[in-house]
Amino acid sequence: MHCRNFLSNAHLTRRSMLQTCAMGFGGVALQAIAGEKPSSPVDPLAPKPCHFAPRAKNVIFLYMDGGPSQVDTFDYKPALEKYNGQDPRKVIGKLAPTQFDSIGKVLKSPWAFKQRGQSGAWVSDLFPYLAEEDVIDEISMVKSMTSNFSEHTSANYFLHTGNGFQGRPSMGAWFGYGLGTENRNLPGFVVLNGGLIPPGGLDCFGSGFLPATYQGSVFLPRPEPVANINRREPSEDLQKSKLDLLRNLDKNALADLHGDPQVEAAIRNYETAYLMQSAVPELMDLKGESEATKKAYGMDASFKNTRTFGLQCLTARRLVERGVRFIELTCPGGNGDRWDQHNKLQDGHTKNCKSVDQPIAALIRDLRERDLLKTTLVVWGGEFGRTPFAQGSNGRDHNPFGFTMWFAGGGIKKGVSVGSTDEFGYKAVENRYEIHDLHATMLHLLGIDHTKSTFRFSGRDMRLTDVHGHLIKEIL
Amino acid sequence: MPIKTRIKRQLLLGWLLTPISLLVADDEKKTFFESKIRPVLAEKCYDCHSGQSKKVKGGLRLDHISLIKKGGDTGSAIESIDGLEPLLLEALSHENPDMQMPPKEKLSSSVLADFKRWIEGGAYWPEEAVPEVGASVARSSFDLEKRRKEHWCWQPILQAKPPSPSSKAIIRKPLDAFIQAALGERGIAPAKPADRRTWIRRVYFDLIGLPPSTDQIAAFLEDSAPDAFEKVVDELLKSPHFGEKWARHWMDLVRYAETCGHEFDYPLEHPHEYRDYLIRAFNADLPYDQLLIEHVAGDLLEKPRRHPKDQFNESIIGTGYWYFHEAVHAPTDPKQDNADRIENQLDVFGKTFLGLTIGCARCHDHKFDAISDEDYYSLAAYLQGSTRQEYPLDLGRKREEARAKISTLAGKLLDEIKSDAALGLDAFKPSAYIGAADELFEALGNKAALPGAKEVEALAGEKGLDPKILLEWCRNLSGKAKLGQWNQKFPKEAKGWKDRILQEENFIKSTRELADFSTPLLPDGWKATGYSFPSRKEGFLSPNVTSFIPSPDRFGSIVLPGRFSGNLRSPLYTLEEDRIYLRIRGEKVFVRLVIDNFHMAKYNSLLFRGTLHKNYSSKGQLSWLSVSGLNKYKGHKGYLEILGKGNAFIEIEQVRAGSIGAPGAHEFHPLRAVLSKGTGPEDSLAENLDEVFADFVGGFKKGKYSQEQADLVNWLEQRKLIHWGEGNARVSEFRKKAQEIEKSLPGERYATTMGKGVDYKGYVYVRGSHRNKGKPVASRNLTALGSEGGDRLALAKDLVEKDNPLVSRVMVNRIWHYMFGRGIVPTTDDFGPMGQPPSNPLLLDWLSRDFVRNNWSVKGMVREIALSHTYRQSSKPHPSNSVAKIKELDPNNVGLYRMPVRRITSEAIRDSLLVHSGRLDRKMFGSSVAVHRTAFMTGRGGRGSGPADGAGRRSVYGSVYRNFLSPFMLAFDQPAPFGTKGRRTVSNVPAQSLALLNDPFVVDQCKLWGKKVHLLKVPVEEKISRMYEQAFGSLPEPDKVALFRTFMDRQTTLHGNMDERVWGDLAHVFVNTKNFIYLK
Repeated sequence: MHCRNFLSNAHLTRRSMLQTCAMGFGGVALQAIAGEKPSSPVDPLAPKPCHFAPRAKNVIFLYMDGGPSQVDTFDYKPALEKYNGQDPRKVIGKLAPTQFDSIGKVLKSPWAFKQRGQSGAWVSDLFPYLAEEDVIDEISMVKSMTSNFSEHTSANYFLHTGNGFQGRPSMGAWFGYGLGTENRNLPGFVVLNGGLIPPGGLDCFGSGFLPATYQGSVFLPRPEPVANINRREPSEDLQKSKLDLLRNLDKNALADLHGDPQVEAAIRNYETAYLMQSAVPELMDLKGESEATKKAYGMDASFKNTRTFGLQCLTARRLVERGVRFIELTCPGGNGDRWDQHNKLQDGHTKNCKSVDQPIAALIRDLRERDLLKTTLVVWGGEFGRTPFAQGSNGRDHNPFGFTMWFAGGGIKKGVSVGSTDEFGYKAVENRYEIHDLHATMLHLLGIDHTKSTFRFSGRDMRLTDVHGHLIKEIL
Repeated sequence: MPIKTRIKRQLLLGWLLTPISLLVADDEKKTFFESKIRPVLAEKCYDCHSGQSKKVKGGLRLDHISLIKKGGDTGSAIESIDGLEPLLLEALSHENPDMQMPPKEKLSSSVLADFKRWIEGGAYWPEEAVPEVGASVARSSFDLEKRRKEHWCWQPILQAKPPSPSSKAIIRKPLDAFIQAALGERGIAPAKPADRRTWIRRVYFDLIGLPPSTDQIAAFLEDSAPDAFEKVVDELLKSPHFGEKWARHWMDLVRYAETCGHEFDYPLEHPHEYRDYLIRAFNADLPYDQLLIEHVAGDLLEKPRRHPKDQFNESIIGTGYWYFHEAVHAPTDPKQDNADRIENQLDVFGKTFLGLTIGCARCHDHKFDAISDEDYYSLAAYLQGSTRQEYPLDLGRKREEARAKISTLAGKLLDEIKSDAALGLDAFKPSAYIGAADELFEALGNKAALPGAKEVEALAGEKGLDPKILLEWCRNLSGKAKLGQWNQKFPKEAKGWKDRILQEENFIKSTRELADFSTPLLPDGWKATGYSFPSRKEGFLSPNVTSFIPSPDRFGSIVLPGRFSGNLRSPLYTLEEDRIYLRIRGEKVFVRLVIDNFHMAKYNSLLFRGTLHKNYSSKGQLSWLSVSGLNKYKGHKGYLEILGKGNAFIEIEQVRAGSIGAPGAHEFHPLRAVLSKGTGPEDSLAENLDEVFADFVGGFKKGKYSQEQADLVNWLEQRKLIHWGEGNARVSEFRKKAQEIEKSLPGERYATTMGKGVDYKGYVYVRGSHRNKGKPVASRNLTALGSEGGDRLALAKDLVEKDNPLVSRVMVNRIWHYMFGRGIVPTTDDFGPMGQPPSNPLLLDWLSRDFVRNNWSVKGMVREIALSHTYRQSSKPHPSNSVAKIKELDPNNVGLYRMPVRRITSEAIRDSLLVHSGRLDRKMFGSSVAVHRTAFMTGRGGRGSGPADGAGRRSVYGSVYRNFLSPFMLAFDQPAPFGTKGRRTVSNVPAQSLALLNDPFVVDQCKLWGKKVHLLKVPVEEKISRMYEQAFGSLPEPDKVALFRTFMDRQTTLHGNMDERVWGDLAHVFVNTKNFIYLK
């Protein structure tokens, strides 16, 4: 069975299944374990078999850098209105240490909540586009997410890599490792940078101990979106003649180096690199997109950040069409310090929502219209949530104990709400899920058993989910 | 165990399965079953295959022989059906991909052999009832000794002898005999020697990381002497570039970095000092045992190694490696943060020096290795009990010398003042000056103005006083400061003092003393490092006027602005109160409480406000400085650190802890001392002062005076009110000399190092949680290595003792890995059961012993390998080996029947480009060149961008900012620094092709290279040939030259001219050709 034979339900014996996995999927791992050069060139990017029939084949991760407030967006808590202005220690009880150690009063949401769509999902007025029936009904929310860290960087590493420390492979890299790539001319893991690189830096998108092949490529909204993608020669001919000579010399080199497979692979990389030189500009060229499409994504919006995020969302769809496995979008800058509203909650969250709301709604519709939504898992969320009580007077501090993430497409259930926080939206109390569960579920949807996708490093079989991870069954 | 058996066992582990013999006696069977079979079943199988399993998998239970015979869904587990292997063995062997047990771990071949032996011997099982479902079966507990005995890496290093060579062997070095004997057993012939051009290129890159120049190649080719190869190797070993190449390997092991990563990528201080230390160490061929000792405990060596030229303490810099970990700036749980950092430190320590994954034992006994969680926390105790310090490097020992000089001068002056009556201290009477001043004021009509210089001089002459000093007295007595007015204010001030004194007493009563500095020695557990704090007994006469007379009841720093530094550290306190108070007098004082070894508050004090003061001034008073904000950290451990850096000055009296506000500054007032002599009228005050001063002089001569007297004299001296007689000139002379000495000192340099802390007693954190205390532990070595206790230095020495089976093996294996691209143990950082066993155990042991015999010489080992036949082999297999045979017996060339083809490192690629372009700056050492930041390298904590070509410096001198790593270096697998990486990934990605094709750095260097070639005054063919030789070490065949000419013609047409651009284009093609970056 092969992921390219998407959703085909080939009849397989357990034996042949395991054999396939051992040769393909596990094959790379085996070489890494042995630390040996493959005796025949194994291509780490080749599409690989799944553990079971996948529901989705692409992921778009809408990364809300800084930690959006659950109680101001999707987790409606009337109790906050009741206790607004009171001492949270008296009302809520003992509070965990917060990042800034400046605990204010219980703070009700400045935004009104309404139930939306057929599903009746609670959405605040911050997300008017997302709240439209045909969009909100595609979405399932998990309101009981938790993280282990209340500081951005560790929480970012944790969200991205399943570990609070730097240097572990990002989930996008794990997907590439597990599934390979379907488009040789584009990287398998693309980060569309809206302007903000999260705290922790580019290592949030690194490949860690996995081969560098799998690391995230950051695409910038600029004429050279990827590093070194543009030739430096003044004309194509000047480069082409170089490549012609190079091909000739490399043929000799291969013989000279006794047909070494790694040399052969290095030679092949030049073909890919050459093709990438044209595939990337083609990707970024929106000539083929209709004005209506661009408008739907908000690319004519008066607010600059809506236009930026609109372009990112549209590019994400184009990447899905081109078979890129994992696409992550980072937020545009200039909306206050990311979603990190330690003060000026109203201003910051308004701008952040305005940036992403319309483009995301358009993305979901567009994917659906192109029949891509059911095979594309869209995930929305930040590294943690925010406190239901104020930091200072008009901000909220970090809160890793209970926050909301939502999912759409990729074969998940629609319009479901999973788990809940306490009556203040402070801590998850029912169906508590953690980041490892998020990863396990994402891998599962793409046909990977998170306990089996391992890489031997540092004397251990490393996993994205470490020794943890339960599926979020309620959305499957 | 006799040596002979051991050799056999070692060999078998590496190559074969244990032969099977049948067991006879019943008790023998029982012992065998209980020691070899049952424990494995219990530990590895019973989770899923016993009565206690939550769910019995596959219907198979293995906890009674009847059930084993019956088997599960697929039939009996131990019966052999149709001549096939019993299912149990098939599953354990992992040979059937459909049935591999245990699923996540293939048991060792010796365990497999045990099971085979057990079944063939009749599958003995003692008489016992079938366990009931749900009954717990005694699980085999963690048996450290058993694991130590069973795994190869813990066994003593064998006294192996090189096998006798066969007639066909090519033995240049003893190691060749081991390699060729192993090959011979399988009938594989080693490759022929590589041609000289291939070899010299190989050995240049491996030893110094740079390509040979065409002249160097030519010289070698022409050298027909029998020792031509030796000469090349010895020259390279002598090259300063050797250290640059090998230091970089070591930097991979210790996760060398220059920033802390995380949100703001704060700096790690003085990292390059450590890098330079490594380069010097490898160049000097520092014996490896010494390198280890310096890394683990260089700060504790009584006689540290000194820098050969600059004479500073070299050894201590090695300890800096402990601190290249990441760091966060605001951990809400600092104990957890500390535990995380320690895990990283122990992980790096364990992998680097011992090839052990010690970090795995943080949460539970190691899953596979002979390391218990108690072992882990016993090693962690060394780190809990050590401190981190900014250690001043005393260039040329100039500070030490200056300190001694100034100390001698000061001592001499003190002696003179004490003994020499001619200095007139005995004759000095303050009352004479006060009286004269009063006269002058009276003459002025009691105005607040100062008397004129003429009047002062006249009266001074008349009374035999020093006019300058008289003028100072007038200044101090004029206006509000007039002594008469002091007297009037006395009753009020006296009340004020009484209130203050009462307040002080109350404060003292309600707080707890942590340290008292009035004793002759430093308080218990306090340590001073560097030069700004004198030894307690020195009685230092400081050239700084604020503390001219040493305070008998306080401990002070020396003040030589900007030139002396050091730090004073307290022992580790358990924090119980909200605050810690230091009674100090000081300027520009840096004081901090380091809680749970958290050092980042200096950069971001978000959660640690109040715990540090960066630039405190007591404004000349003796004050209580509060270290606050500790209410959150009760029960945590912390130590105080006081830096005497630059022109900071500190005098400390005592340290207390409490939870109340501290009294205000306690201003010293000279009248307090004077008035205590009596309560007389105004005129008697001056006489009282005479008496007090005379008392001081009397005591001073005997070396005994009170703190109050010292304060008085210093107060007067600070205002230049004391007449030292001839001494005045001497005092000025002393100050002048001291300042001259100070000015001659070179600028300051520091290294971040470890420092001695306390003997830490802590606990096992059960399941890795600091909230869950287990058994108490104290610092000691691993159980499997003898659990020797003592301080860190004892640990270091214990590790390099000859019977340690790991240290030398791990290092020779690394050297082997760097020379061949694959270690004898391929998992260079993991010699444990999850790593791979040595491919040639006897060779490994022979090398280890040779290494130690040769005084742990790294260069010696590199030389041994570089001059071996194994290393000199061609990468083309010997023609007598059939392709099919090689493919079958050793497809991956584990046995080294040919030299492996290897890609050169990212550093070597970049450095080669600089060599060819002529841009290479061979300057060594110093601060790193900032990374060049491209548009893609954004994010918080960014620093200024460096030049695109890294200023032409070798790559080892490029900065390593964790959040802004060089994309070029990363693309070619320079590791991101987070843990030990003895074996770099060798990836193969299109980003590498894109970098070599389009990276502006590469393009620019090719242009420079092209320009250089273009300007050569030689024929085109020769230019081409020389360029080719530079790039690949060989000469182009004529048909290739023709090819290049065609290419150049085409580029000439496209450019419109035959100029340097065309040469640049050819250079660019060469750089992209595979044998530019691969060694054959």
